[in-house]
Amino acid sequence: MATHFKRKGKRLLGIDRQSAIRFFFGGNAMISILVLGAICLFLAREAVLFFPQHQRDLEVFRLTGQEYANFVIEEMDEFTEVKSLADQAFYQEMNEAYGIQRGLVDCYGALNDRLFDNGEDLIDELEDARDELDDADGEEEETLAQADLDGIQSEWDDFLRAELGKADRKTIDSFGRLGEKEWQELLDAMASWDPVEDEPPALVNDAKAEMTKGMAAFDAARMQIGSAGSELARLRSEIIKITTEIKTEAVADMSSAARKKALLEGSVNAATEEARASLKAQAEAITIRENFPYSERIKALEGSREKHEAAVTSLKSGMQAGVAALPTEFASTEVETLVSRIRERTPGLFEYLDTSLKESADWRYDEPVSWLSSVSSFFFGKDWVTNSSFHDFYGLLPLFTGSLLISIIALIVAIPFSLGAAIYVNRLAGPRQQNFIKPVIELIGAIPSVVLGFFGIIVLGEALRQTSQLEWLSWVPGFPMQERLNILNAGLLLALMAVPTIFTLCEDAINNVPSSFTEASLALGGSKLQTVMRIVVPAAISGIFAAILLGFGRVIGETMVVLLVAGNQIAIPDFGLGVGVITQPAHTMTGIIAQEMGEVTADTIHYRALFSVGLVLFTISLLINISARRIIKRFGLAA
Amino acid sequence: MNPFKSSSSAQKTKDGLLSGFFALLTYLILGCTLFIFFDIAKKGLPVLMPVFSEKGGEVVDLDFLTRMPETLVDYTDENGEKQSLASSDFIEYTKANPDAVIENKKTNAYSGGGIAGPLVGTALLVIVCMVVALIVGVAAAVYLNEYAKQGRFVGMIRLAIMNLAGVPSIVFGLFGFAFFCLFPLPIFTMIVNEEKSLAAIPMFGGYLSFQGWGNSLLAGGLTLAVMVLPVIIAACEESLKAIPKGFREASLALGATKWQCIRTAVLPYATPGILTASVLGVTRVAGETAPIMFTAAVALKGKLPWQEADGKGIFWVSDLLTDSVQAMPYHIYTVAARIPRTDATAAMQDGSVFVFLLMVMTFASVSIYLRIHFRKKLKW
Repeated sequence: MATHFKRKGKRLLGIDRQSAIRFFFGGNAMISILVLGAICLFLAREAVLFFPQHQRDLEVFRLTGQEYANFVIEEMDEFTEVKSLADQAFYQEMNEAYGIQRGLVDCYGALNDRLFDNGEDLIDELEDARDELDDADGEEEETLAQADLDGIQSEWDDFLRAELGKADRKTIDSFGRLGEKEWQELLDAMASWDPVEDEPPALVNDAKAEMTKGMAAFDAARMQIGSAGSELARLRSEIIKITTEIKTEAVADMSSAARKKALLEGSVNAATEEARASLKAQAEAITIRENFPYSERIKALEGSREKHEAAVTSLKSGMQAGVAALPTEFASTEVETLVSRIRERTPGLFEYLDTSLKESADWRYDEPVSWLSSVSSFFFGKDWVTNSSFHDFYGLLPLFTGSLLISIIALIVAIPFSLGAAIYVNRLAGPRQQNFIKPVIELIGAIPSVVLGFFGIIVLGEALRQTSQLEWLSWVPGFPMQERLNILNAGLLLALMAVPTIFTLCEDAINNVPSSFTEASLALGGSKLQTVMRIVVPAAISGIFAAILLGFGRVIGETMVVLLVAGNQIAIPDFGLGVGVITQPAHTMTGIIAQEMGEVTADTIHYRALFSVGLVLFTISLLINISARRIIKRFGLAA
Repeated sequence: MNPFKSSSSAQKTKDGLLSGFFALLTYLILGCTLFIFFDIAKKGLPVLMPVFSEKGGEVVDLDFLTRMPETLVDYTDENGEKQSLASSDFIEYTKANPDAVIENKKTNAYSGGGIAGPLVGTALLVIVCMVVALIVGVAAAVYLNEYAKQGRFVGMIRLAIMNLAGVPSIVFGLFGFAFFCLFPLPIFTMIVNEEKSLAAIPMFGGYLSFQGWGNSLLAGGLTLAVMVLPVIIAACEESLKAIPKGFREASLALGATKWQCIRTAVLPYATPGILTASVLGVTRVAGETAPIMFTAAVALKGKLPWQEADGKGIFWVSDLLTDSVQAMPYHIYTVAARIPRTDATAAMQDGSVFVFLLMVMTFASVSIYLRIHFRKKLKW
């Protein structure tokens, strides 16, 4: 049977059959390297192209003076934040100090609307009848008209009584400001209400007067603060208009060569002689300038600096007076905190205005933009604004903060649960429980993220909001929540998604602790739990740490849950709220790619910006993986 | 101190409390999961089986599974009752009853009809993905386990696989979009897209055009395949490792070549493992949304993919593969995120989520069962 040992001799290009098969398998194994390389290549290519393009974009931003406008815009934004605090405090104070009065005024308004809506025809008739009576000549006509009027009047009275009887306190007084007594008083007062004169009853008028009087000082201060910024606001819209015009022109100029070429081509191919001539004329009308005269056009901004300075000075003085005029005693501590926040923020705002003013004074339109600022304005830029009529910003910071906050919350929730479960399953539970718990936890890992996101929108969001509105939970920071879709909601769902990853790896790590450790501890008289907590967990800590790292990688790369549930508001959450920051909506790196990738054109700066975000995500995931692997390797654990 | 003295009662209480706490944490996780399952089933089951709904009805509503998604029209009829009909039914109804009273008519995109299109699309995506991923994955696992010696090359491959496993799915989506959709890859087509095509070679009465695949079944399937590759490789390798060395040695000692050995003494015994790997892969792939969002999926399509494909032979296949599809996860994303939830639209949302979850969970349970089963059974 010597043939069996004979090697097959067929060769192709010096490769025999066995090596060919070997190469086939090897080649398939290499695909993973190729894919990883291709991912790096494609992401890096767009990112590398992004930064020069971004630099040019910033250059235009500066040359057109939009950067200067941005100083004013940001100053205005900062001011508006403080101003809205004042408005918020004002309305809250009004609700708390004059709740009943405001309730009366509002309920009167609601009743009035309802009566006019439902009794429109009747009111018209009533008015006509009265006019008729006024116009009536002679006694006979008068009696007729009077009889007519009486009929309608009684009809109206019946209608009014019926309507007032029907009126439901809960729907009319939706904020629950009125007590049963006030509500009855209002209804009684309304019983003699006349729709033609449409005058509120004395009760309501008194309430209104009382409220206005009581709130007058606060209102004046609030209005003073509000109007302090009017000069800056005017300047803002003026500068935006000027600079946007320059930009539109400059952009048109940049594409003029391409436009001219297209028109000329079109004129050659046009169907009729007429169209050909008109296209050609259009093409010739376009002059291609080598350089757009920025220095010429930027002169339109002349005088803005003086105006800017004056506007900031007037804002500061107006605001100082307004803040000083704010009352000092309030109906509740909440209003007090709000007002004290205004007071606290005012010096900071002034400081900001001063620095901004100084920076804007040093601003030059022709200062070159370095590539470094292109990089730093991507990584540390505070705005991500696209498709804007003013200027598009590509700043990673709000997205990165959102991703990080959500991941941290997910981990904070997931770690104790997964670790506890891993300890329980591996050391405390019997085999029957193990065989049941492990597969179920594994099953969690298979729940599609879009389903969890859906659950977050429909069930968890509503449940969280209702919980947050409970009276006895109002001490929790951030409660009651404004939004159903927020960081907390997304974090909780992601925690569930991270549990299988962290649990499985933790369980492995705990399982790998040599049994001699446990035996030694038990032999020394340690109880089971003492052994677990003081021997097993510390011995497995590096594996647990690797598990947490990989869990973090899983969470920060998750897309659908955050896209559906995080609220998609592109702004750095307000850390001024302390822990309450988690009840705010946010946007994430993964979410922005999923949301905007579908609508961008290839090779635009926006497209490349999204790829750069992808590269950041990719790098983070690589770093996490490599460090987790290092840890596992160093401490000799089987992954 | 007496080492054999049983622990103090204080220590015992502490131990008991702590174990109770750990058990509580564990069962809380399970409780949350079961609650999600029950909640989705409670809302979704009546859509599929109207007999469980408040109104009652047939035992199984197959329409939901066999119809394409459509716009939903809801309106109030002459009795003031709220009605909702899929747009094609509505058109028929108004044709049949021209005098019917229709008030407060409102249309809701995507919320009528059924989910046949997304179901079929997901199935096609999974098939394309698994065919590719299994061939590459099994071959790679065979290489790593049977051929390769520990060295730099294998080290690099393992590093790449491990890193690939951690890449976020949306990044795969980006890569798939840039490579499979936009990069000028070749397709067979009758009509060359002049704008995109780099080169077109006349072939089989049509062209082999280098114009990229665009938003297509093939692009989505391959993106998913790339994503699931590490999972398949790891699972296959595990099953290959479980085969005793003796099998191979015996085969080689009898004079088999390496390939004969693999074919007859290794692969047959790895089949259960490969089966498990493929079910596991299906679970992963079917549930993913991010990689197909901009590589394959569209929100609305009028016909099933094979009804739309033109051409004959290879051109038909090519047309099928380079056409976009609907997919369950994307459909759910569309109806959950873009449509406000009302009484009329809730049925589509709940029903799709329920069917989808049921589908994925079935595959997941099967994969978990298979793995446990084979691990127990296949011990040599």
